[in-house]
Amino acid sequence: MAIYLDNQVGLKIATVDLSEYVTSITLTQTFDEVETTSMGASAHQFSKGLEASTLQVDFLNDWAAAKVQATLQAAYGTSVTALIIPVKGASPTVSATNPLYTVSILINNLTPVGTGGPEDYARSSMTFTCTSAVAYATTGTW
Amino acid sequence: MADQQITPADIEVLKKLGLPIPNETPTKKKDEE
Repeated sequence: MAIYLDNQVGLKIATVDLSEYVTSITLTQTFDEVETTSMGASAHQFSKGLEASTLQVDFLNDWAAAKVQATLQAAYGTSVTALIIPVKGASPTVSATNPLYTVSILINNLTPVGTGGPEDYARSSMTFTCTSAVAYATTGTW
Repeated sequence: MADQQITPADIEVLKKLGLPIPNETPTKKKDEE
């Protein structure tokens, strides 16, 4: 069995490792369903269309140099590379049981002054639109 | 895309952050030559 606690997911945006600030991350792979129903069909028919995945991330905000806010502000309005690995650990190894997901994301929304109340650390919660297919690899480098 | 790919947009982000660009050969300044 290769199941893991969900507490070591790794995330790089534009090669900058922001893993230590991630409190929640969800990569949703999906594609459009293009209707191909034609005469004679007794039910709707669909085929695979364009991929339309999303990456949802909650961050603890950090305004230090080259950390969460600086990186996202630098990338705002552009499509940059995101790398996600289920278990980052101290020396992450990409394998069949710890695959690497690579995708371009459009940094199309930021919440620099994010969620939370007076008792909370400042957080950001964002959902980025993927602008490439999600590449799944069992070899390579994190 | 098994190995890490770096795109021009990624490089722009790294430049804005003042971070080193992976696999970039450092260029010598004139006064270092």
